[in-house]
Amino acid sequence: MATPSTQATVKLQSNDNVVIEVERAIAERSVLIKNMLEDCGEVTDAIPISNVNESILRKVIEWCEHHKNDPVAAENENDDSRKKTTDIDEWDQKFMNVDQEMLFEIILAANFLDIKPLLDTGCKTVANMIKGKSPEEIRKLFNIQNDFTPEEEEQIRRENEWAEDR
Amino acid sequence: MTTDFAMGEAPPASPTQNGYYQPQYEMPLDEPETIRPLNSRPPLNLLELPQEMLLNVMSSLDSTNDLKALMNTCRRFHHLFYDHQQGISKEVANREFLPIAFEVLKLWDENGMPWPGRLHLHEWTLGKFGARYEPTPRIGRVNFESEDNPRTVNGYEMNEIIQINFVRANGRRSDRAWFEHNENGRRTLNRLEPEEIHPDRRKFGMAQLERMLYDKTEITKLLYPLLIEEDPDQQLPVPSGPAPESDPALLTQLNEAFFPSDPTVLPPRIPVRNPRRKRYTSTELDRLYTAMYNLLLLGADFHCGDLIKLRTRNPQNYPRPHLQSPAHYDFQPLQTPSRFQGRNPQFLSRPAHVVGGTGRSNVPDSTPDQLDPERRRTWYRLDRLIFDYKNLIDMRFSEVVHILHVCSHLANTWNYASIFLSNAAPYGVRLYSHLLDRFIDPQKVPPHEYDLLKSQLLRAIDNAVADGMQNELHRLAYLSRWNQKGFGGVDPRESKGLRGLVYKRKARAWVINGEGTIVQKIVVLGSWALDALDDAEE
Repeated sequence: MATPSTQATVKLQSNDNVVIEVERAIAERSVLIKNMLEDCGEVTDAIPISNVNESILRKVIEWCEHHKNDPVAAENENDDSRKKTTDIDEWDQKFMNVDQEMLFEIILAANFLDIKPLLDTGCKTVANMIKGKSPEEIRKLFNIQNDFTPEEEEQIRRENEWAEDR
Repeated sequence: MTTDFAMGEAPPASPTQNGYYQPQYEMPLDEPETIRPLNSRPPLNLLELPQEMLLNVMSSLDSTNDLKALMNTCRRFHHLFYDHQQGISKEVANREFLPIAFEVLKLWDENGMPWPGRLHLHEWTLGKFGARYEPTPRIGRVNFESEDNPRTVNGYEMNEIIQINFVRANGRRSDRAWFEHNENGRRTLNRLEPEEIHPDRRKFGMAQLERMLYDKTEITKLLYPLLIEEDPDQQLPVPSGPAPESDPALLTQLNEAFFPSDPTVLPPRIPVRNPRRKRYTSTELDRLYTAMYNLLLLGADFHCGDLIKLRTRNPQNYPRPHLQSPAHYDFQPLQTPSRFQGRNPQFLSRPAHVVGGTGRSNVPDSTPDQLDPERRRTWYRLDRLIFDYKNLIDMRFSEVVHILHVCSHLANTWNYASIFLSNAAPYGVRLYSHLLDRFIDPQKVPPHEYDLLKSQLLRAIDNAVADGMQNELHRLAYLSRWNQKGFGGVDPRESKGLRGLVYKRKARAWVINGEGTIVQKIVVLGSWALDALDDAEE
């Protein structure tokens, strides 16, 4: 049987210097890594993922592993299906059931590694956390400081009257 | 250890009895210092996510209320919404957009075209103004009124004119938002009383519908599902039976009701529901609205809470007496298309009033009915163009902006001139030529190019006559996209990509910082308008 010309695994190095070996196909869910491998050919050294620590990197790899057989997302960024908050599958929902800090770190990592489906899933998860909440509840949830003056708040309220869902 | 000074007082700066200095300040005991690993960073807060990710979160919200709640939490989200969803803030709009709109209206008026005194820009045109995060643009309405400084154009107050309506993606809107300026009630459209409709206009309008525009059966089929069965004044069959096309008797009845064959009979009061609630294609909607608008002008009365393209018309503003006859259309019937191919010298030497000029003196001697069939057909097609042109101000403002856009483009770069000229021209034939003269200084461009542009303009008219408006509209939208790429090297539609953001940032800077020429600002506004046009097509 012929040996595949591409390497089977790649090593990823987190910013806290932990090297994790993963299947190339899994690593290539990241467009960043995929492009890097395509550009550099065979890479024997660990690829430094400078913005991501070990725990987040392992989380991201876990996601990639689960989704390794998913079809590659279309280039079209305006694809409607990417935007619906209701289409997070059950596994992803469980996967994203983490504390806020880790959730945001996953989003950042997905952005850095250019894994759009993961990025979207993360953002949808945040959106789902926002759904149905009042501004005050959102502030409390995300520890956001209300920096509007009372006058500004009143003005915003007036401006937004039209937009009531009915 | 005890102290001899009260809590809250500053400790003495002198040694105490035991010879030691008291600390000047005490560490607050209720705020223990958090010890974090050396290479760690503070916990992430939502607001610390990069802007693109916050926008992604916002765009994932399906409900207007959710988005509103988020944007009302803090300034960051509020600004994100206004900067990126609408592309332009209300203040900036007041400062920058109104003068441009004013200019457009002035040009419009100078060209002798009526405008209704109220400008509605809706989701079909500017409504999705910069709303790139489909399918959940949760934009309502921004009212670009300037009450402090009402400006007038021929007696119409500026603050009556500009009203931009944003609607949510599901097409629903607040009735109040649409009708709040309607003195006659929110759910009633003004209608022209029969005596206000000049007989020629009626006759001519009916001719447009019957001969020129669309097959009336097609319109009937589109209108039929909209009829409201519970309306007490229902004069028409309810849409519960068979489809009209499968019932010849019903089709005849409806056709006769909508388009009375007797010119003295007014079309009926037609109770309809919002066409947006039916799943028409954009082409069907366009035809439907156009037909309804024509019917409205002919005296039909549509009762609907939120018709989108039909608007109240103030009888004292419209129609103007001198514009009631088709003779006011100061266009001569065009000649055969072959005449205008290439750079025909005859074509270039056409009278000034055709390629620009004031146009007011060019009233044809013949009425359409006196023309031979071929010319009459051309005439009606031209009238159709002008009819749309007249309605630009409240129906297709994006195209007005586009025309300005094209002009500005011509003034800056010449590469795409001929293409866009030929595609934009049908939407504002005379306005365009007026602007051509206005924006392009013949002294500054090579004479042959100037002439070429003018020739292209006329060819464009001719093409439009040959092809019909709808094709031109689609071509316009398509080519506009290319134009955007040509303009900045970047397609602003790539809103999520870096290039798109760069473009948008640059565009905003032009508008917000007052940089660039007015022409460039128009380009920016035009690009946003074109986005809306594309959205409408989808």
